[in-house]
Amino acid sequence: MKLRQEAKLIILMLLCSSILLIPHVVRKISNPNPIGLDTYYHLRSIESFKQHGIQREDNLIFGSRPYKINIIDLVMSLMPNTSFLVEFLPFFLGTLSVFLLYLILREVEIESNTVFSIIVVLIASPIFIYSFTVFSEIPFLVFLLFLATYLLLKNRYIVSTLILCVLLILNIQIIPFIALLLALYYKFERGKTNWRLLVAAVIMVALVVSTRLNSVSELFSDLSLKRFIADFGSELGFGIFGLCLSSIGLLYSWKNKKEYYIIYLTLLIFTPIVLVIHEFIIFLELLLAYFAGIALAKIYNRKWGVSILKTYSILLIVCGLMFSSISFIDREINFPPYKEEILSLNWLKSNSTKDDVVLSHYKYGYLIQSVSERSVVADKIYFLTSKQKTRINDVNLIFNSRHLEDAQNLLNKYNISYIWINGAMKQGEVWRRDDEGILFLLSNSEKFKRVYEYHGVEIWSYEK
Amino acid sequence: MGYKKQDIFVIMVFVLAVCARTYVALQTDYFNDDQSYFALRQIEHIKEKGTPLFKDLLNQREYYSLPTLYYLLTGFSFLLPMNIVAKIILNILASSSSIIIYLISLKLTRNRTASILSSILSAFFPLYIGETTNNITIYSVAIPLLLLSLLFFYKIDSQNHTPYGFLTSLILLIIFSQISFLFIFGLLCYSLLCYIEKIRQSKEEIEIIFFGFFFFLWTNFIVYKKAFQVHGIRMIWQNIPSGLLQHFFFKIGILEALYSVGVLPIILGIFVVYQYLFKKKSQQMYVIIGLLIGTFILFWFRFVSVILALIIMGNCLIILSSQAFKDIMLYINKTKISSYKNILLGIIFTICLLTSILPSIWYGLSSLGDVPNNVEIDAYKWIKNTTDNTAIVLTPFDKGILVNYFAERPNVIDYNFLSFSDANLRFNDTETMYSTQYKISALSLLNKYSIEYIYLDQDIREQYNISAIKYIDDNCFDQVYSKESVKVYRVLCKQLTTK
Repeated sequence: MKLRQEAKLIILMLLCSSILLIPHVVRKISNPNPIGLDTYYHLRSIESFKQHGIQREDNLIFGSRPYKINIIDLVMSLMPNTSFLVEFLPFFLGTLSVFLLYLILREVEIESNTVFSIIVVLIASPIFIYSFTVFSEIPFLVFLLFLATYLLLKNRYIVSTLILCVLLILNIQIIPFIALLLALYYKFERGKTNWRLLVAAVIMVALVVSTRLNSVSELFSDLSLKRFIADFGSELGFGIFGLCLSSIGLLYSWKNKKEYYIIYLTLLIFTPIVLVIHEFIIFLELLLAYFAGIALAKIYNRKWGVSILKTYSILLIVCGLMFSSISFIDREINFPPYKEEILSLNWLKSNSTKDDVVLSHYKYGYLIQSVSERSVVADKIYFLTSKQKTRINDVNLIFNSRHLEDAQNLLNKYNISYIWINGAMKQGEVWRRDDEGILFLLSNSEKFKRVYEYHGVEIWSYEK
Repeated sequence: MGYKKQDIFVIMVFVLAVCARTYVALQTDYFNDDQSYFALRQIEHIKEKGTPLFKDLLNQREYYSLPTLYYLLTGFSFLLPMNIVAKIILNILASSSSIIIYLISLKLTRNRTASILSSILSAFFPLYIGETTNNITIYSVAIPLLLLSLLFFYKIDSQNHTPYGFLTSLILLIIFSQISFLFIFGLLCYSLLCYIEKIRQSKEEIEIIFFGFFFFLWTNFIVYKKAFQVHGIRMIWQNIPSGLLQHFFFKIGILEALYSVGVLPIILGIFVVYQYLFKKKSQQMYVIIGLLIGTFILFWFRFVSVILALIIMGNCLIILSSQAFKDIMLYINKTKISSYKNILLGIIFTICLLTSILPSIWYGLSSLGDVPNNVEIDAYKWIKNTTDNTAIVLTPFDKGILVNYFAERPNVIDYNFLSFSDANLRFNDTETMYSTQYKISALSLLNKYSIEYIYLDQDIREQYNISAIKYIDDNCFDQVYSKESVKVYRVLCKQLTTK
């Protein structure tokens, strides 16, 4: 049965909406807090703009630092009901992005079944689900990039250019993607490759990567599959079925490699930047979804020797794609923060003073800053932007220390008043045993006093 | 090809193999390895609750495995006693590989005599007999299923017939065992060989391999989803502790390979591989050679254990050796010594006897040496009757399941490494708890795992090269059981915890 274009679009929109809504709806049953620790960076930023306007210094990090103004947070602070918007906007932008992508793919004259397949694979990918359920810059960047692309294809150059400028203001690191987009557009419109754009993109990627790393070898320091494959436990990773399909699509496309080489180059150029800025993996996923969609469409359109196998194979692939998504959603519903963590931080807010500094794993920096409004030693911004990572090393030394004097020196250095520990930290994130490192000191030294404990979350006060 | 008188020989070989296996297996009431007892626990749980033991309340762990074999055996156990099922039915299934190999060889060579010789080699495959005669092991079912899939793969034709036989056997293989990955990878290697040799594969073959690959991926990701999320890529190596990797993936010497697989299959099989890789072309041969190469690659990169690799490669070489037998007989027929063909066949059979049949019998009988003896069983039963239900007993990993089954007590570590997020740590700590001479570090570890009893027998002494546990004294330990070489100690001292 051949579906009309409109019917296909409606199916895609409904599928997208359902997949993006389910994590929020199911999570709300047991945990009212938004998904993802990084969301709290934005919540805190929005709240700070609302209360204090644009600040120069961020005082919620030990020693303070220049405030990193996020334009999106600034705009959000002008809107009402931001806690609702923080959860609604990624979903809304995701749905719109899918709509725009559909229009773009139809505009570049890709066959209808292939377009449908590409978008299904994309929607089902864990990367897409995460990117459009957790509040961050990514939904905005993707949506604006799609909008600019569509307007470019419709020859609305001025508006498109304006949108690209907005993109650059939001995040300058997206510049290589813009260069590659323009290269792809040039190839589509003129049938030729604009090598200058590609070279420019390579240079920009090199610049972005170099600002993040101390050496080239750091680029390859964490290539573990656990970081990149959602089915192996990654929070922001590819689905294994999508990857297999993409590989098949790449093999299919190799027969017409002259037509596709610019996309191969784009894939190659994207990869280093994704290794450094993991959130940009969504752009890599877009390209891989394209190849996966080609593979799926070819499998569907092919004349099979054993017809029953065609049905079962397609069913298997679709089930496999859905399996990756469902499995990921099942995990995402239980992503931090947890109720007990929020409760503990609210308690900390009420039972400590504004000058108190809290020690914890840098991963929880945003959460502590946002909920308890207390300074931390290190947060994710510090982790990502600091080349030496001195504080991260010092925090690790404190966590692993069994020598009171050594631990005290570092605790005093950062003027720490409280230590916040959650279940994940005790179950392998930092420690594996109950008496490992500073946990031994906490229980055996009078300098530390457990002032809060609830469902695996502990807060210890430290007396200098 | 219709049935001929020679086919009766195959049945006789099969019956002989079953009888030999059953005779060996029934020499003891027990099984060789702990995996058999894990299977028994699963079967008992299915009988009781209808589902496999995924969440073990005894050990407070989750298990990840394909439960199809356990369901199959549970089904049989409603008709026959469990001992008969495990010792006879499984041996019948394992022996069926000789019939299947006969059929495959016949398909390849169209020569009954050569196929019968392969069938004999398969029926008396020393390593396979040693691993499957007195064990409840998936190999007893999975290897025949793999060979059956191979047989049906040859029957795929281009006349638009749906290959139901192959699909059924492949699906069964996938839902029974992860060995299916070896088969699918072997088919991929076969496709590669066809591509290199510029042989055009039929559409149906490509589609079937494609379907098989995705079905395998889907099934295994559903079953092992959680294990993948916890262990990541290490899941492929079953999360085996690094200290044990040598044990599972040791490099085997030529002599050992010759002895465990058989001289004739190795020499003749390798000769055929050489012929068809470098001199002749045969799409049919490439299927087996592809499986052989695929298994070797996976073994080389430590994706499969040496035992499994030898079993699969051994079967491949046995099939290939039928072609060598055929070529030898054809050659003899052309020469002056053709009148002595029967004598030569007799010589070949004698070589089979000496290098395959006798070693098989030896392998089968010597495997009985791994069976837990009555003294050990008595100790476990004493633990069961005397200790608290929740008392944790320390043993090395290869006796962990015996503690669960016979003593009905929790263990510290067993071979289900996927159930532990800290398998490596547990393995090393167990080694320390047995071999250290320092009481404080031993007590620290004993308390960490809340161990109440330490089990010690002769195997453990040999394993850790100790005569006794050095830190044991009267202050903190009490010898509560002693019989011959088996001792059980109770841990009396609890270190102060930090909480």
